[in-house]
Amino acid sequence: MASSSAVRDLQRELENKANDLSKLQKEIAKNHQVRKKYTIQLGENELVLKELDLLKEDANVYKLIGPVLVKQDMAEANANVRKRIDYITAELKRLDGTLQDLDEKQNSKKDAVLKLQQRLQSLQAGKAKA
Amino acid sequence: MGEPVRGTVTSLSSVFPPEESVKASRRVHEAISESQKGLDKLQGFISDNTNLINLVQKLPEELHHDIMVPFGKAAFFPGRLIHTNEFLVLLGEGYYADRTSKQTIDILRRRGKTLDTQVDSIKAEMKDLKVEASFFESTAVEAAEGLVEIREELDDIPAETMSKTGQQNQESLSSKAGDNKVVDGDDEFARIMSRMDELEKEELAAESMNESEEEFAVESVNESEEELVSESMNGSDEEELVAESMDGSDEEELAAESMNESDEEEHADKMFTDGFQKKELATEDFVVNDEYKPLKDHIFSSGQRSTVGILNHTMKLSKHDMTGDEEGSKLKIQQNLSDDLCKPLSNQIIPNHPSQAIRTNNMENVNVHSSFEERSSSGGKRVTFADSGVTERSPASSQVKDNVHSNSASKTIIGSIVEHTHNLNINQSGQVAPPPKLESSKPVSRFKMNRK
Repeated sequence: MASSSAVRDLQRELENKANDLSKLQKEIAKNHQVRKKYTIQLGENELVLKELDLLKEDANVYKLIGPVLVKQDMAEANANVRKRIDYITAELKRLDGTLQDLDEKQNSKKDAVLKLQQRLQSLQAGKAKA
Repeated sequence: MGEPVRGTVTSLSSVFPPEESVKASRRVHEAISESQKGLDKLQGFISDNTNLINLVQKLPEELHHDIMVPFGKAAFFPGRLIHTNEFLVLLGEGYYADRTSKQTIDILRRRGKTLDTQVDSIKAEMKDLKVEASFFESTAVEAAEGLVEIREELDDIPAETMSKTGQQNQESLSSKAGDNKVVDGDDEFARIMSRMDELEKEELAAESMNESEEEFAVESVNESEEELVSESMNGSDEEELVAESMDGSDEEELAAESMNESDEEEHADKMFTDGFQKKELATEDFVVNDEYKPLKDHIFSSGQRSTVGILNHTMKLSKHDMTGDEEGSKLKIQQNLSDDLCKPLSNQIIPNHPSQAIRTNNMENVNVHSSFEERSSSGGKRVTFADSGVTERSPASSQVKDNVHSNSASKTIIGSIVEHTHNLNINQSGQVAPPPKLESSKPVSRFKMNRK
């Protein structure tokens, strides 16, 4: 019976580890999504910057804030767009870092789970023999 | 084909299990469909863009347009569109800009270009995926069929065998290749071909033996000539075969069997070297030149004898004493491997020997040949041309010589087959009698005629 309790313990541990692993995987997926969004926004902002550069200095630029279309300065708009671009690139970098950490954690968790599984199998095999 | 098979045989199914390749191909197909969807979306954007450009171009044509203005979800009211050249263009990220029609069109055009590049990249992606899918499908099919990949090391094939590339080889090889994926090199191919060639010769020899028993008046080749012939024959497998056959069948023996299998296997050298006992063999009526035996269509090219040719014809050793002619009598019967094999009867005599008289005769006759009956008897064999096609042997030794030279392959028969002219005359006369005995198609020993 000691062996069976050991088996049960092992199984519980295995479950926990498996849960952690799945959580990690979800986080990684989220990370991927956010990264995608940011990448798209970055592309868009760069496009806006290009068009703004093509505009004449006295052209009217408006910004849509909610349901309101607010007139903006060319300079102000340019500055805003540039800032947004920088912000987005920084975010992306941060996300990359977290993604790497998550990846490492996931790998280690996978190894642990494998080891647990092996132990469980050996125990069960031993039990079967006996 | 006695060569041992080296190398590994790998079943395709072991390398690419069919189920996995099927799964892989399915995955690739899904990826393809997804990219196809993206492609369709982009194409929709591009068409919208073009429509917009057209509209923006048209609007400034009028100062104001009368339109039905949409009001809410399900209502319109008549209205007027003014300021037809002023557009508020969305730049992106919630930023709008006032632009004219022309400027708007520029913006739209630039957007269209980025869309096009995106479409191109997706198309390239899809192409790669399709290639991958086709590969997976083909491997799945092949693995299911049980194709096998064979790898063999390349061997150094002796020159002789290499030269023995005959049609048969190719045929056999092609049949082989059809079944398996052969990953061998060309050397392997040549090796196999040479083996097949040998086999074919054997078969042909068997056939020829069974066929007409026309006798070939093989020009008696002097032993020396035979040797020479054999030497020359060394060059090619055929020669070897001939020699062997020649040797093996010392005349009588040859008559019986030689042509058949021995021919193929034996080398002409042997035949020749063994001597012209063949002369004795002579079943032929041909007048035996002492030196020459009329060569039938078989041409022994310096010892080469297409076994096929030989086989077909039973070489009957005439009583020529080829030996007499040592120089000329050497008959080099060349058998064109490929041709002769196909047509057993056609053997060309290679005038390797300086004795061109014989050769030329042979050449003339042989060249045309097709039905040679040859006895593989070495030396003194008379090859009678079975074919009527064979040109009459030119009595002129010179002609023979010419022919011989022309026909002679690289091998030079030292002991010319060409008979001495004086002998020829004799032979000719002698031949007159024999020819009737021979098949009408076969010219009387030409060599005799050509013998000087």
